[in-house]
Amino acid sequence: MNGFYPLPSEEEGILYARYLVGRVPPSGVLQRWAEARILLFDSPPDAADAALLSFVSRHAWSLGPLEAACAWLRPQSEMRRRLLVMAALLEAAPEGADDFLPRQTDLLTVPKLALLGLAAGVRTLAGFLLWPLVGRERS
Amino acid sequence: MSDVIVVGSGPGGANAAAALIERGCRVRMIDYGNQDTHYAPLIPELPFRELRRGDPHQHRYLLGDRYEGIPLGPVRVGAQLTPPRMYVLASARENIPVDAPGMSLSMSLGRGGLGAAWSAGIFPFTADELRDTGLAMEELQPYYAEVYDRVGVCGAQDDLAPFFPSAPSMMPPLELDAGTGRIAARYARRRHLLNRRGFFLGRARLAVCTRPFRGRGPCDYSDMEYWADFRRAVYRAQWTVDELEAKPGFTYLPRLLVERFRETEEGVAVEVRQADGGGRETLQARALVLAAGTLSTARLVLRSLACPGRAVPMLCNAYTYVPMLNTGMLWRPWRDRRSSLAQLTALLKLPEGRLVQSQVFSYRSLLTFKLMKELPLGLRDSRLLLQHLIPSLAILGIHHEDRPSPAKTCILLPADPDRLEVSYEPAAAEVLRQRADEKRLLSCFLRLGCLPLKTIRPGHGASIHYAGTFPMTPEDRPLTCDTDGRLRGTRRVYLADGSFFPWLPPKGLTFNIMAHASRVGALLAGRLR
Ligand SMILES: Cc1cc2nc3c(=O)[nH]c(=O)nc-3n(C[C@H](O)[C@H](O)[C@H](O)COP(=O)(O)OP(=O)(O)OC[C@H]3O[C@@H](n4cnc5c(N)ncnc54)[C@H](O)[C@@H]3O)c2cc1C
Repeated sequence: MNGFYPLPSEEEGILYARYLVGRVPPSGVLQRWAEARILLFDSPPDAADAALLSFVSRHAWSLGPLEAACAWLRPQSEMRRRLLVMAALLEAAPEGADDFLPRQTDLLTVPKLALLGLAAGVRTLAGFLLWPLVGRERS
Repeated sequence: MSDVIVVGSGPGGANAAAALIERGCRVRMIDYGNQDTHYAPLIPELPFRELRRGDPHQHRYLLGDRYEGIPLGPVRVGAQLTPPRMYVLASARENIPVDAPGMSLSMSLGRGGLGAAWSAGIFPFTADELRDTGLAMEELQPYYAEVYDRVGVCGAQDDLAPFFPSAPSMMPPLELDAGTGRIAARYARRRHLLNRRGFFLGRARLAVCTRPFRGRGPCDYSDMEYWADFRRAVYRAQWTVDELEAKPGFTYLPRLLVERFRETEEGVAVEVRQADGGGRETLQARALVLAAGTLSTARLVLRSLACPGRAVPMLCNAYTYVPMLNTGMLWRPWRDRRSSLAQLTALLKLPEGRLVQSQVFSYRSLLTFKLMKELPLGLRDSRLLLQHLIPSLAILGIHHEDRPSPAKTCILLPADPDRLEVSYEPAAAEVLRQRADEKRLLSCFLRLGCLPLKTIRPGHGASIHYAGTFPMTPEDRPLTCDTDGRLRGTRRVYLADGSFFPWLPPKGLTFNIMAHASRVGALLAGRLR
């Protein structure tokens, strides 16, 4: 194993799934996560990516804002790619299907979208504010 | 010795062989012939939503056993190439390698060729578009009709009719889904204004059966077209090969890689290497039809005619994706019953006479996580937003025409082993013109309530429409083909893939390859008789 794994597989999987869908994933998803993590993230990430992964492993609460900031600042970061793999695993399990399948649209869709957009904006802003802390902890 | 050897089982090879067999010739089809026996048997014949909620093994085919269906990089070419379709590209890189810096090329060694994964959009050329080949429409028309009857096509007689020659045997179009139905309804209200601007919208013409047809179909609207071939409703070249295998006079020879050919006193000798084991043999026939796909055929011709270092033209439609917000759908309900294929086709006829063609898709069955990474938001927020937004997304795929230029070439570099190299550098003026044309097209979609969100240019080669290496020309020039599809400089070698197009209109070329291949087969059968 050459990859960078600051958390044991199951703990990391649960952290990501809780963030993405608010639940502990089914055991099948965790098994696949363990397999995919080794297969897809087998080489050491660069220093900045490693710092991010370490930071969120120590401060689980920071995952949401930092990942949102990553979408702007490091869209190809390893943390985001790991989260994407977990999202794919959750989506491709019957228990997770409804978290990803489109919802029926109705008159409330537009206000819902506006609220979601607002929340996402706030989270991203928080991520920008946190970002320098990741670097400081590294140095 | 058989009458004809056909190389390749893609749309070109399958239709050339069918035309030959229908006219009483003996045909051997040589093909590398990869197939998927791994994923196809795992996929239950269920509608997408049901399968997603119920099948505990879905991760195997949705993501792949080695997670090859999770795209971790930037937007790739051929998003439709899901794990069950990826075999289509398998072993091409090793066996028919191409150096193409800055381009993404897709080549196939599969049974059915790239056509085993195609999106089935059909776009017959007009008489004007054929003119440069020296062929009159009347010469190709009977073969378009033959292909309509062989593959099964659905579509409507609508505003697109002037751009696509009509077909009496067309089946009714696929039902529109709710989102594209809104776009079509808006178009109906603004039609006159948009037509004055050169914009025309109609139902996508697809090689899909909407009625039972030759033991196939009808389409079941399960939204599974990118994963499986339920009822074989979508035409794939391997269905024709399956039919041919039941006919006398036809032999399918898979697991063989053609390396070169040479003409002999009696006909043509084809040198092949076995895919399994690497043994070599030579097969003989009275004539040879090359349908190995434009680039693989280019290698065979340049190698066999000893033309290393000689550049031939290379064409490929430029391609752009534009995800759009279909505002008319934001608060309207949608239906589960749908097909994943193109729903609408839009054409923009510019005052200069140029055409731009685009197809409108909606999005669902290619999975939500793949879109999540495209949004500039955290993945959790992207998921929540997309659950509401996906029914209102329309994905536009825009095609531009392509014409030969000295900076778009294909060359066989002498080395051991020799290497095929493709250089493709459109002129700056061409790129600017394409961007301006896209702007005009998108301004018409704005009037239909479609707000462009992002423009994605996946790079040269992304349309997977390759052509033009040995163009059909009325005048006799080396490394071209004559109007019968015969490769000049040979007596009995014919081209039945994209190699023969002298330019590419902004339309999918495959249906035209099939009609041309049928004609090549028919004329050759006449000559051999
Ligand atoms: C995802 C996708 C979507 C597409 N959608 C559309 C669409 O909507 N409309 C459209 O018009 N086009 C579409 N296309 C393009 C279309 O698939 C191709 O234009 C078409 O398949 C070309 O047919 P062909 O017979 O010339 O070659 P191919 O389909 O490439 O077939 C080549 C055949 O030759 C064989 N072969 C190659 N080299 C050798 C060799 N040396 N020895 C032995 N056998 C060999 C291969 O095994 C294969 O059977 C799409 C393609 C893809 C991948």
